[in-house]
Amino acid sequence: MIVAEQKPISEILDMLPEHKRVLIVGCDTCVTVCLAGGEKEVKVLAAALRMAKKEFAEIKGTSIERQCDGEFIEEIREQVAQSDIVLSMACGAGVQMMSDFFPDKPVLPALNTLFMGSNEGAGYWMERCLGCGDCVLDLTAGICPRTRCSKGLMNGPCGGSENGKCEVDPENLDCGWNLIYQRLKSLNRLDTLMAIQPPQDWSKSHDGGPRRLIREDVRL
Amino acid sequence: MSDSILILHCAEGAKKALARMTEEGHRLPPQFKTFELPCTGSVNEVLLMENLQNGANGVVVLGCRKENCKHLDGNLKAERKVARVKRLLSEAGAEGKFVEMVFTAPDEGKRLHDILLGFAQQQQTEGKSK
Repeated sequence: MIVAEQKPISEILDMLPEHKRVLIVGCDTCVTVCLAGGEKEVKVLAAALRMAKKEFAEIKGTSIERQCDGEFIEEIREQVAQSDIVLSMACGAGVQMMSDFFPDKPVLPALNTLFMGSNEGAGYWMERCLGCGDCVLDLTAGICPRTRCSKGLMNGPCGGSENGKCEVDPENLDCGWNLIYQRLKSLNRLDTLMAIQPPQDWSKSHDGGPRRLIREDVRL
Repeated sequence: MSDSILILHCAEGAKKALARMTEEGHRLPPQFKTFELPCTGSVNEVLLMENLQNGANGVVVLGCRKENCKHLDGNLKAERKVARVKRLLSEAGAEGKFVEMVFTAPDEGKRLHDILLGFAQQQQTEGKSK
């Protein structure tokens, strides 16, 4: 899922001009799971803005299934028409999609989008995927060296690995390459590590503008 | 609920402390309203923020003493929620609104009364200074 966190309310207040009708829109998918921008967070933010020092003509809140999907955005077209400003509690993709759908309305972000990751326990999320466009998880026992290694090394570990921990945060951060080694060992696949991996092909990552995926077989 | 202070108390130690307070003859001013929860662990940000937004000037979450929660750590969970709401109120600059966490034992009627009256007096003082 995409992991995000709410901006400080003071920053959100700085973005919002006074005496306007504000519609807060939550997103019921990724940012709901990471407790940043779901229905509950919309209610809390709406209450905070209603009690804030700044005065607004109206604060309303709603939530849709996904803000990165036009068919769900259409559901709130009427509510958006009756507001002056949309405050989106989605990830950056959702905010941009909402801006595309409502070009005559300012759509402002209430969250900072952080990474693609997993839920590691109550209140703990960790980055798992960089979206590099060139997956090597088959070679590394399902542990991503680009994400889990602090240096993103393709041939690790480096000298900063000690007792299975990374020098970046020896208390809390596992060395990604130690994890890869241990898992390959348990799978009896250590021979995989004998091959020298070529440098990452970053042309498949964020290079040459926004990445696009077009599948002709499902286009209308 | 304007100018009111809402006490969200658990059904265990805090409820008994409120009862003890009354038995000992310590009365609270009428602006105090109480609402019973099975445990303060069920308190969440929505409950606190919406009560404040809907007119309560303050919300006091009243739970058992630390390490005496019948549900093990419900009071400690509530403490963290209260801390977060305090931060939200501060960031928003919500004047005249407050939220507090109080831990109490069943036999602390007088101490509880003093603490709660303190919140009311503080609120009154802040109101006059504006």
